[in-house]
Amino acid sequence: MKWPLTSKPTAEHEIPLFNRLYLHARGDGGPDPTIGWLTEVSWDSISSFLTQQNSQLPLMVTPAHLLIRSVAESLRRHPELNRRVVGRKLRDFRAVNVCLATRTNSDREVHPVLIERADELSIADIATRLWEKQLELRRASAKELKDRKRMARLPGWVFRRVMRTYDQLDRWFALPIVSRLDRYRNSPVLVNDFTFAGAPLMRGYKPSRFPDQSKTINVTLGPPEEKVVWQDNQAQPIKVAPLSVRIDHRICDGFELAKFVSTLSTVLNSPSVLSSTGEPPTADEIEQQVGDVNDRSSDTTVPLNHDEDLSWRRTA
Amino acid sequence: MKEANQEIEQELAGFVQQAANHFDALTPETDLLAAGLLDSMMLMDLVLFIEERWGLKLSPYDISTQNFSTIARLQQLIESRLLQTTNQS
Repeated sequence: MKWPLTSKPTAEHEIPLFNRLYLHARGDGGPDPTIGWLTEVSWDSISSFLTQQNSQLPLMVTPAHLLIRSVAESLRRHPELNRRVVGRKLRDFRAVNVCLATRTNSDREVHPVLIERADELSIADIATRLWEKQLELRRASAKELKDRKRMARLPGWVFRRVMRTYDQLDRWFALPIVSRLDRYRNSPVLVNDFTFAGAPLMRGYKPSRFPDQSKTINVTLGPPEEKVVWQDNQAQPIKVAPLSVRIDHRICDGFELAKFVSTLSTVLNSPSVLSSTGEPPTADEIEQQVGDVNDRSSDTTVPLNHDEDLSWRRTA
Repeated sequence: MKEANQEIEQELAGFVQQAANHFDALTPETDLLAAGLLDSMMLMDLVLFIEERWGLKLSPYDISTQNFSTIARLQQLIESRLLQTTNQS
């Protein structure tokens, strides 16, 4: 049994007024505490980083693995977002865990995969865990598939009763994690990778929120597209990918969301900050490299206007 | 031996073509990743096809761009694994 959340909630006087308004507002049917931000990141940077990594690492790394590591790094740098609402209180998660939504062609189910302490893992470690889990799911040897089968056998009215009871308990109490299926609650963030070939251009994306409220944040990377930008006094084609972040207003405001998105974009635009040459970087190395990027543009810890990042965004 | 290798290549090509909706320009040297023929779901299908067809068990470390870039590379992976299995038994 695991207790994913800290024992003490955030003190009421530490929560900003507008977050508290949403926190204490009516429940279902009340105000929508959702803020979204859609931006773009350099696909050229992501792609060349992955090519370099794949030539060095013994296993394939994909945008999903990079996205998980980047989100974990951003959450580590913004611990104020690594929390969730329980009842009318905010509780911190004990570790930086990230959930990725995966699918297989063998069923129509979404299979979230939880990567625990993702901020302490290298991209290769994350790739190893994900491939292992995806192989298990595809071979139908993953233990949680049995749990799903058991749940699928429940009649509608029993399923509804069970889920509503669970939902109410989870909504109001900081529950421990007791089964394979509810361990997905051990993360404030769900990550979607929609960069697969054939995905349509993403001009907006509104992910739903799990009924259990554990997923405070949703991060979605969309398919790459070509764009012409003005760079070095000439028009140049570049590839960008849309990045959509949805967050719960009860946890943070638009400014804090912007800071989080800025950190995430910085890491995705300069993914080499996450890894040197094959060897997994230590947390200190990451801190230093991300810090170096930030120091070049601003004396704050997280740049909001980063010259390096913005140079490729100037449209012709 | 050469015939066996060609058979592996043909079966792999057949599987990829069917999964990729009969991609016309597929050759043993087509870069499957660059052509967008392999996303993670398709990759898993391909792994399972290889495991079931040739009785192999692949690990995450077999899923590399070197092994999965082309059908020719995949054929080499299968061939080397089959050889290992034969030597062990």
